[in-house]
Amino acid sequence: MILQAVLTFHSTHSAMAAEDTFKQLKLDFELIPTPRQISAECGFALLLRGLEIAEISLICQQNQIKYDSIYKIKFTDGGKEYEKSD
Amino acid sequence: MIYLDNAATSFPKAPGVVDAVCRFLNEIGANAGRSSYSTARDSARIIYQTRSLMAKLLHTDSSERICFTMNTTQALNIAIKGLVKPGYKVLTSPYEHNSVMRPLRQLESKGLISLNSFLINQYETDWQYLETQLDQNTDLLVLNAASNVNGFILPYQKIAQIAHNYNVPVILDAAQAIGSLPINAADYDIICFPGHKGLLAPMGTGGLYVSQALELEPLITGGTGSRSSSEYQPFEMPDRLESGTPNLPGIAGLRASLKFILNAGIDNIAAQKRKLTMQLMQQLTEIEGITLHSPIQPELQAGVVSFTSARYSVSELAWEFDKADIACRMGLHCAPCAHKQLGTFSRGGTLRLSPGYFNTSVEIDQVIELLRELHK
Repeated sequence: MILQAVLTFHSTHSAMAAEDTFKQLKLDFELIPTPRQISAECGFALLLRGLEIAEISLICQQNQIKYDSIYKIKFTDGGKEYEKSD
Repeated sequence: MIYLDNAATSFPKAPGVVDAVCRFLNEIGANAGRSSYSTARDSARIIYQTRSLMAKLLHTDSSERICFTMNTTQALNIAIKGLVKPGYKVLTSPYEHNSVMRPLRQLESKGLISLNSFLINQYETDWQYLETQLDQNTDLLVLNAASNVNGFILPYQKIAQIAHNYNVPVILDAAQAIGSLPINAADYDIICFPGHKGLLAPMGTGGLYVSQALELEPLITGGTGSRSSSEYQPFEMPDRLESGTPNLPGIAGLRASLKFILNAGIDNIAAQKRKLTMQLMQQLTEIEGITLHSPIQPELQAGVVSFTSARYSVSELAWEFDKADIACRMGLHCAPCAHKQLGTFSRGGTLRLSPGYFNTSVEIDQVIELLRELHK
């Protein structure tokens, strides 16, 4: 199963800024409605594919992306679980 | 029509603006930051990109510190009322618009602030008085970059620098400056700007830049699409100062006009306006009976020309202009203190002509021809 993570934000502006940067970096990502299981803070979140949490964190740091949290998606028999990273 | 009322609002708008507004209304139309379907994402991107272009124009990387408003007046109210604290001593120039003076007078009449103005004599700032006031008597400076009455460019960069030497924050009213005069975000604490004047965008657009060091108390609170679990206003910018559905058709237009302006270059736009303004002023001074109330030096002139006539009242002149299908503005231009400074208050103000980037020298000649005929 390919690695998947969700990046959440405090504002739409930050989500748009991240989208802009990730497009330039040609990352595999999608702008998605923020999963209700994890946050109701901003309607948008970014779903990233193929990157470890540490890599995402580093990319955000290097590109001054302001985000709320990163969640690793764990696929279970019943569906998905979102594990918040520190 | 010959349109010479660009100090009130620009006309025509930049190429691409009408199409951008129509495209938004016809093909997108969604609210931004509330939902995540495709057109809602497009709306959010339009706002983000417009903010980024605005940040580029103001030479800052902090686009999240730029908030959109309906106009400069709203931005100035957010800035002034969000920044002042009871007991503040506020200093202004003698050339301010009522968009600055009325919020300040409102606070003064409630006993919350005291108000003073520094002195300018014949376009020369009294630097000693300014420094004394900044040193002993000022908590906040509110300053316009250029007068909407006569185009006088105040030494706003130098004044802001001096104010900062005394740790006095500066709110810059860039209503007549944005789009044609240099403005660096780093030099000011707050910059209030219109979208519909020098930025050639639709009415209902404007905004403010707020430096990282400041946290304004919001004037308007409400839904932002963010931190929806809380009933308290978020602290994050730009959401903190942007509640409610924004003017997205207007912002789509502003995005198009900013692309045009950044591509054309502010210096080129300023040069064209200056050329027309100088042509107008030079020819006005050659007509007997006309008195110019604007600085004639190009380096002091932002493209707003005020004059009076010995033979006609300003209302008679405005009527003649209207009959000749020329758009102008007569009266006090919402700036009584500027007219008091110029000595034109008691006679009902001046006739104001404000060329824009899209005017031509042939149009200026036609205006001069009309005034020559009237003063034969």
